[in-house]
Amino acid sequence: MNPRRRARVALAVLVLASLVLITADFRSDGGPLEGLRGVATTVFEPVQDAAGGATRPITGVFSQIGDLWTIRQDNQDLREEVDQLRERRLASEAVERENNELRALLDLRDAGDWETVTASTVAFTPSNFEWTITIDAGSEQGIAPGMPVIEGAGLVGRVLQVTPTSSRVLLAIDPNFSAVIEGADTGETGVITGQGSQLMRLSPDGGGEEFVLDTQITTNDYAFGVFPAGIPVGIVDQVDEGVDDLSRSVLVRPFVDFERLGHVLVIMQEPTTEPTTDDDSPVDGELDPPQLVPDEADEDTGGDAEDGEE
Amino acid sequence: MIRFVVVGMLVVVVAALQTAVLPLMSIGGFRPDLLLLVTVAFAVDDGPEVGVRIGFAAGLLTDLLLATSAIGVASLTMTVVGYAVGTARPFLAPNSSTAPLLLGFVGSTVGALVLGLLSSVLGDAILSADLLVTACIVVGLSHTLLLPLVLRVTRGISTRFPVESASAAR
Repeated sequence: MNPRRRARVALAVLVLASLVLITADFRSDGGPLEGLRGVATTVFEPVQDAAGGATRPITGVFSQIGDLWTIRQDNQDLREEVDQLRERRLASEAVERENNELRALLDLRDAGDWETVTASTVAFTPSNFEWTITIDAGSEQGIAPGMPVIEGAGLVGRVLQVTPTSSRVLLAIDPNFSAVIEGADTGETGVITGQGSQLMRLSPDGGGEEFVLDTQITTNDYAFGVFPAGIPVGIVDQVDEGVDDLSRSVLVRPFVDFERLGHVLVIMQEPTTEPTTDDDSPVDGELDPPQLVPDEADEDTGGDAEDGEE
Repeated sequence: MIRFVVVGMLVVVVAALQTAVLPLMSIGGFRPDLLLLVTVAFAVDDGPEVGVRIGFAAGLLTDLLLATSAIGVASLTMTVVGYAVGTARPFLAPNSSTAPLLLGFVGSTVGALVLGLLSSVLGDAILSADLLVTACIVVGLSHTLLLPLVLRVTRGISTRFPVESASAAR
């Protein structure tokens, strides 16, 4: 068989194999192919951890390149001593940064009174079209899919997949991510969605007039209760008034720096699948299907029912 | 067999660098796709058959490390890119030093575009055009800059551990 024909045969076979994998993955929905991903994560996590640990000091040097050249030009004789001082400084800065991260995590955890598990980020997604991280805690630590993940600055995302020793977290900036939120001062609710490396998009439940520049956004535990209330999410960065309320566009800058994720906290709270029954539920006690409708719509429904009864 | 092991280890190391190190050096939130780059580099030198095999392996590893895209999307994309780049190489000037760079730029940009479109179509969310275009430009330009370095590595491997049918691939 000549090489060109061999290449075509290989192409046909492997394209067919890829299509079979895609079809099987769509049909299986949590079956053996997802298990394969779990195995790959478990096997690869120590490799990623080792690669990150070995190269992290080198990547830190790039940000110091300006000072490096200034020192080298000014004092050639002290190069070795400067290198030693730089290594000590990087090491102490890393310790100080880690200390600040952990203090911020403790502050946020204490403020929310949540049961949490601390984990470290060991890897990011290899794709430019998916925003996930791998953390070094899994089902052995009690983590389950759907659990919220936070860090000192605020909301990071939610757990997507779990293996015994690691977990994949869907970041809040991923287009597949959404959460019910509210304005910290106004209480107006809405839904926030990730847009990748761009600002997050906020879709207000009502007209959204109360979401103005610099409005702080936090999570709301309405309806599904996926995230506990009060987790900082971001700040309104851009508001495009548009022609009418429907075309009003609100963009939010997240508090978390998703390119510098280190230590995170997983909140040990599994998402509920039914609306929470609390004082905000309808007066007549009936449980409506879960929906992202503000309270005033439910109050209108209750009012009409009372009028109807009369 | 030895070549298989060496190339396999290279793919694993590149994947580890892609996920653990490269995100710390991103450009506007985007970064080079080293697994796609390795596929293009091997295809440029060793031809379409090698490009297809390495593209499938690198793509499958990428699929297993992703969480939201369907398994098979990256393997399909990189398999086709490996074949296309390997097939196009003989049609360019044989002794040109810029032809591999041009081929690498086009192959990487198209590969990133196809990967983004398939991820969007077969995933749950729609990626904006801005995001897609920006990602493709960053990937294309960064791959063009990195290709000479990666080619040194892949040529070294191919010289030391030649493909069994190397005479037909060149």
